[in-house]
Amino acid sequence: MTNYKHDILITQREIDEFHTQFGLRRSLSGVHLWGVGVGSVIAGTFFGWNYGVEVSGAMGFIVATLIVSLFYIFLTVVFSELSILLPYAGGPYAYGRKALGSYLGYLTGMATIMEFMCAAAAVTISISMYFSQIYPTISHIHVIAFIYFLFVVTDIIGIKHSGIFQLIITCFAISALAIFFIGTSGVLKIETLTSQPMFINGINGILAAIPFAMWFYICIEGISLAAEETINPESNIVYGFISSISTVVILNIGMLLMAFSAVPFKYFLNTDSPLASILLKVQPNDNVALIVFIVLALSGLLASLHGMMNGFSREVFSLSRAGYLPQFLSTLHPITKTPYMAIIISGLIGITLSVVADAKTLVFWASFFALLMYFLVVVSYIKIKCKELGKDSGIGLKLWLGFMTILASLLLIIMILIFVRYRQYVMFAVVFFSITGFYYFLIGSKYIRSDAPEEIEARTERISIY
Amino acid sequence: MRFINSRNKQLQEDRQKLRQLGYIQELERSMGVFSNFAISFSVISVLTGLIFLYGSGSGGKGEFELYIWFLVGVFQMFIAFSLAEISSCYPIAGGVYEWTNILGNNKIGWLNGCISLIGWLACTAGINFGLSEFFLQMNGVVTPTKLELLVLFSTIILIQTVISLLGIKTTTKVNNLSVGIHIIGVIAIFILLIVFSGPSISMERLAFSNVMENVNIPNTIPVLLMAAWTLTAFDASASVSEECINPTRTVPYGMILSVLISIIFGGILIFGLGQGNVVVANANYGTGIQSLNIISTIMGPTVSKFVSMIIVMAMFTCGLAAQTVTVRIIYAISRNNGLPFSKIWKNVQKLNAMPIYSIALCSIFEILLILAVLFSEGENSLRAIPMKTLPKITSLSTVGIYLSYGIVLLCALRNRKKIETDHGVFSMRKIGYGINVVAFIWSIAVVCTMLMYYNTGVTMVYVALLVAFGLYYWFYMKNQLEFRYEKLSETELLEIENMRGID
Repeated sequence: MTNYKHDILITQREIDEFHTQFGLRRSLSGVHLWGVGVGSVIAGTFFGWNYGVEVSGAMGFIVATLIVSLFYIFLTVVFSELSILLPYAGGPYAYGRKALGSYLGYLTGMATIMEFMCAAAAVTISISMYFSQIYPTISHIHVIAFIYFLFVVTDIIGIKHSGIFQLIITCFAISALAIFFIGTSGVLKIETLTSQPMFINGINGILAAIPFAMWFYICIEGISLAAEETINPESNIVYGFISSISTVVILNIGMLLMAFSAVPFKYFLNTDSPLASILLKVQPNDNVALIVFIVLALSGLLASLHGMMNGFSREVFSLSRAGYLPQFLSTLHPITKTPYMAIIISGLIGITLSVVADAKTLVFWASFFALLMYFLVVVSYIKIKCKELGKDSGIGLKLWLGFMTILASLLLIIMILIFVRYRQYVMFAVVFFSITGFYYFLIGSKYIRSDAPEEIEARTERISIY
Repeated sequence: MRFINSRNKQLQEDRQKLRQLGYIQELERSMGVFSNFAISFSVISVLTGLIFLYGSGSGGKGEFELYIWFLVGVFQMFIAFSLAEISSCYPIAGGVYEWTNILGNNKIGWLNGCISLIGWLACTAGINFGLSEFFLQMNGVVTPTKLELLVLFSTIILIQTVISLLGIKTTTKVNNLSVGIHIIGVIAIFILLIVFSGPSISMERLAFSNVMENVNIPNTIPVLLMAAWTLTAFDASASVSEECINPTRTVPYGMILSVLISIIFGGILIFGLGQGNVVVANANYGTGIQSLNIISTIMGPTVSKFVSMIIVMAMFTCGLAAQTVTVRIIYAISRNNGLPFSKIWKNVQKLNAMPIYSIALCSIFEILLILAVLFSEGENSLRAIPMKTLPKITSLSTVGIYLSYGIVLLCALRNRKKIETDHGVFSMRKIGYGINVVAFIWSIAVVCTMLMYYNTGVTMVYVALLVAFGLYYWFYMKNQLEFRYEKLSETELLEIENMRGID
């Protein structure tokens, strides 16, 4: 095993050998990436956002969503550029490692893992809640365990099966939303929207609602984690990001407008299935619509869960491949070439989380870790792009980088303000940073493999010739 | 790299084969087996044919639609096998027309081409017209007037024309998507109808004794029309042969697969609709499209609207595929100067490899045809409500297409030796003769049944067309066809290709 300290010349043959031994199989295309992207985030439309309406009112929440959507559009551009530049399974870890060094790269990776895990756990809780509406007698733990088991097996079988599976389930989820739109389209009135409390806490309210508005779009970076498995990444990743973010923005804002115009929001403030409650209230006699909606919505939630599990297993795999996490997590199954140990272990931790915590906490934590990760990724992006700044670069690039810096600082401010508002979670954050820090400095940094693709990338300078 | 090289080599071979048959490659080759299957499957379109024509004659206890469907399906497989064999020998656009030219003589070929063209025009017009009716009924207008139908019909044709003009690759993508839409649509309708149509599935309806009680001529013929119209028009696979890679292999498999899978999914859909029909059998019978009544009663307002949207998408792609094929047939006939003003119709634009004037001609003729059928009986004002237009158009198209199949099968029967010498990848050798015979008898039987039963407006339209064609033939085409246009030899074609700069 090569030590990080000795700078040995790595030849192409060794890189190829590494790749055949540790590489993942390329089988996804642009449409599959659209399915992965939309499918990962569509769960946010079905539940979880309604916890934020309480603090900010109807219009306040819509404003928060608009702000977050705008932010995510810029983030998509950042991510697609970075994914093309560094198409490795590590995703955010690779970007952090290249620009900011070992520890911060590791931290970015860990933040991604925690974000995906908390999100997956929240989605699993809500699936079991939906399920118990149809079959109240089955216990939640059995449902959760069964679902995780199902997806672990699907992921281990192979990414191609997962790709088509994800596409079909995503289409089901969009159909569920279509049924919701058709169902509520008869009773929309602007008066319902304007007659409710609009801005409950003013600006503070909007800020406090941001984690829950972010829940709409969380885990869209799942596409970049599938980068190593796409055919022809340059065009497909851009296509995947752009198509999925536009689809999701349109669906979310449409859904919000319809939800607020159909019924006063006190009916869905604290349920785990706001859309189903709205449908029940608006069309109480239409049994067929309700049952079909719940079945399809379940598949939407399953699609998200699948995307998230995909995401964090790839992230764990890549961190372990590079040595930051224990080595056994990156073993590939000899036939299907999928990282089965990463999938299984991450699944187990996910199950534990969903049993231990409740949905609102998990939603908040997923959003916080996502904010942390986005901050680090945007800073890495700025640093990587700065290397391209020369005497000849136009005003456009400089403006763009300046804008990104403002964005990064806004993110930092929002993170701090959120902790001011939600003081009860500070202790947990301290625990997280200390555990990861200890692991890295005591164990991880000694075992970093320098022939992992992300590490090699981090040490090479790109020479661009204009 | 290796794949691209072998693809280029294949394209060269296909172009050479086309030159041997006497034509220059003007269209763009890009379709594979799945895309070919997709176009044929889209034209057959179980969601279109069955949804339009279901329930126009049934009722009561017996479930004979399912039996007739499978019966027709079996015979259509015979026709499919015969046509697939012929298409494997001669993969040219304009399918049936060209084969009759090669296996028979010019005059019969031209006649067959015209009959096929009429059948396909009526098929496209029928699909789009049914789509207009369906769309209007979906939005609440159960008895639309002629004006509303005409306006919607023209809009749909306009949109389809625009999509066609974008090139064959866009049409291929739309058709590939439509396969998914059809499969999901059929399965969704089936599951929803079975689950929500009542406490139990009545299997006794399928019992043979119950079925035989209800079988008599007025009940069976509309069902026969439904099955025959839906499961036909698979020579679409052959008409796009010049746009398929390695068509001797692609086209026959695409054709046979499309018929087979349509039979399976059609059976599933009929079974589901039958279960639903039991529930709504006594309510609003005879107004509007029966299957839409079934769907909206059983599935409730929300989900039925959603399902109807899926069906509308499926029908739209069906119309698009049918238009694509009709345009290819016009292009093929005008390549040989078979139509008036052929010089215009056979022009293929270099920009998008599409014969744009043929597309325009096709659209205009569809509208004219619908106008003719709409105003052929009943009141002539635009506010009137047309009755039973759809069976008329569909029977017109059924007669046209089946007659063209019949003629080409007759020529194949008489010229069996030639097929066996020229055989392509898909060939049935000695059994082929028997299959040809059965297919021929079946197609003639269908034609006769349709002509005897639907004999008002349809026959008048046909007579008018026959007279028109007869005159054109006598005064103009006869001389043209007498001097058999020698097909240009291969070297001459090569020279023309080089001149035009095609590589």
